[in-house]
Amino acid sequence: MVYMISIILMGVGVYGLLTQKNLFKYLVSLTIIDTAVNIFIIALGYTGGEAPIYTEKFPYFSFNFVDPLPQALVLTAIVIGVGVLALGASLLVRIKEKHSSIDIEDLKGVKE
Amino acid sequence: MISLLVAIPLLAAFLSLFLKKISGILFFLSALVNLTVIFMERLPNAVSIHAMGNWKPPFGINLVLDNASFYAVLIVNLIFFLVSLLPQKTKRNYETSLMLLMAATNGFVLTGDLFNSFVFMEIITITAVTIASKRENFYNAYKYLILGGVAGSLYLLATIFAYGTAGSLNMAHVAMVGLSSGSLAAVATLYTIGLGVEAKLFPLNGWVSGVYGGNELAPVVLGTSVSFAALYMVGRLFGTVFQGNGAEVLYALSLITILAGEFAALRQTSLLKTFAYSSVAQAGIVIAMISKRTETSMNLAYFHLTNDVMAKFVIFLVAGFLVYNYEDLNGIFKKHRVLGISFSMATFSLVGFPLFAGFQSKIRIIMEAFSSNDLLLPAVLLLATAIEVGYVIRWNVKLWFGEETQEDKTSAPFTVGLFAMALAVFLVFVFVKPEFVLSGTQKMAKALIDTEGYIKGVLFSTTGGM
Repeated sequence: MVYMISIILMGVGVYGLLTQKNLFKYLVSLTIIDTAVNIFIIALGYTGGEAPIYTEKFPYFSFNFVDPLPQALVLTAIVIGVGVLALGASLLVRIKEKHSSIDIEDLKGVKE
Repeated sequence: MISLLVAIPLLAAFLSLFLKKISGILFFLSALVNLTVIFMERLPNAVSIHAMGNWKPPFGINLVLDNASFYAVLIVNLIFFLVSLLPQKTKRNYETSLMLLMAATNGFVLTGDLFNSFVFMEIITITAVTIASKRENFYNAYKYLILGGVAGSLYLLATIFAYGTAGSLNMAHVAMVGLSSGSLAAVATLYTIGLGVEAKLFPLNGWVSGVYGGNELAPVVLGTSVSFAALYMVGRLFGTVFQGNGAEVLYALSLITILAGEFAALRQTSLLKTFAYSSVAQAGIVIAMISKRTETSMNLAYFHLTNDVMAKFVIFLVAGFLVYNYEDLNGIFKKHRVLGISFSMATFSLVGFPLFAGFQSKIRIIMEAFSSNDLLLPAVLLLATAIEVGYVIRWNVKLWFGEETQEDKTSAPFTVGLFAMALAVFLVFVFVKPEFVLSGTQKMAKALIDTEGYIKGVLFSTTGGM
């Protein structure tokens, strides 16, 4: 089920990148793809066990643990995703200031 | 000690935020210290690791210095050192990004961990985008960011697939355990797409002309050091970790990349964009040789890459100076003879004319392909060379013999002329003494295909650690 959600989200993100004309929507699509990958990673680590935290209530030897590594990786991946998003948003502001538009139809004449 | 290669530029980048006036000096010093560290850490024929937090591999993150990463990190830092010596005008306000890029590129080359390589690749993308946005080149930088972001996501997906199958993120451990044939195909394909953006593999190279043509700094840095790092990682993953699996896809894509790059270069009317697409084609040649995964082919791949990187440094340096100082480039070399001679020598090396380094690598690549009964690569390479001759001659004629239309007597900064000429002369030196570069690339090639040595070196290493 969780895998399906991540695959659907990935599809939505890729569809957005391929069909949208607005640069802001590109950024949103990229974020959706990021989220899809993050959910996929979490799903991979979840094997039906308990939270990997040792307490007296949950002595570690009596449970199957969820793999904690993917969760740690996702934390890093989220931070990187936010960094990319912030840089993209700041570039969008500058594109809007310079070209008065963030629609790729209007930006077609921009010098490459 | 090798962690200093990442830590020093990172610290210098942080300090440069507060000490803006001396950020140029900080950049120079960090590049110089890095080079010193690299030469001090040289361990011939040994694998040295730095285990972060003293977590021995396969647990935790580790940096690996072997013959392959030593050569790659040396080239990368030499380039940054040269960039740090360029005139202040060229890199003004971008020193912090350059230092971050240096830290990330070093980390990317040295890391022995798949997830860690993703992190460094994303930092490379972010800093590269900031450099690409110089001269208000925002739209092209944005397109690069989006493509780099998607590629990063797929790289991460490949990493997590590898983790799901092998149960480890350590490259040596993944190589030892191996991936099942089903997951290997998915992982190799995703890594090809992820690295394809930085390595300029077709059809993921659409950003190249916009970013390289947008300012004078981006192509000098991204076209040389980042390209070298990305192509090194292609060799590390497909050579050492996947042991040649999935290389057929790479080979097919590389041949298309060569032709697509050359035809696109021929069509361009802008100087920077012509050689931007030329870089794409050269990356294709390198990947084609990497995908063969023999010691000789790997050796020639990185020999050709080194020659290309040297030539491209000169070409982009001169082209950047000209494009952003003159509106019309006709006959411009009559005013800048030193730059002109260096530029012509570098372009001739690119084509593979005798007397220049490019000849040595191209002829050896063709001979190697023939000896392995591969007729396709020589055919594509010869066609590509014919196209290269076309645009190289066209640009040289225009820049040397075009009718001058302006009287401007702007003089080239001394350092630009000096570097351009020194590297151009070095290209001739490499033609005469190819062993000078080949001795390094051969060790690199040997290390990249020696999976067993890499596994033993990393997992059972007695050197390194905290």
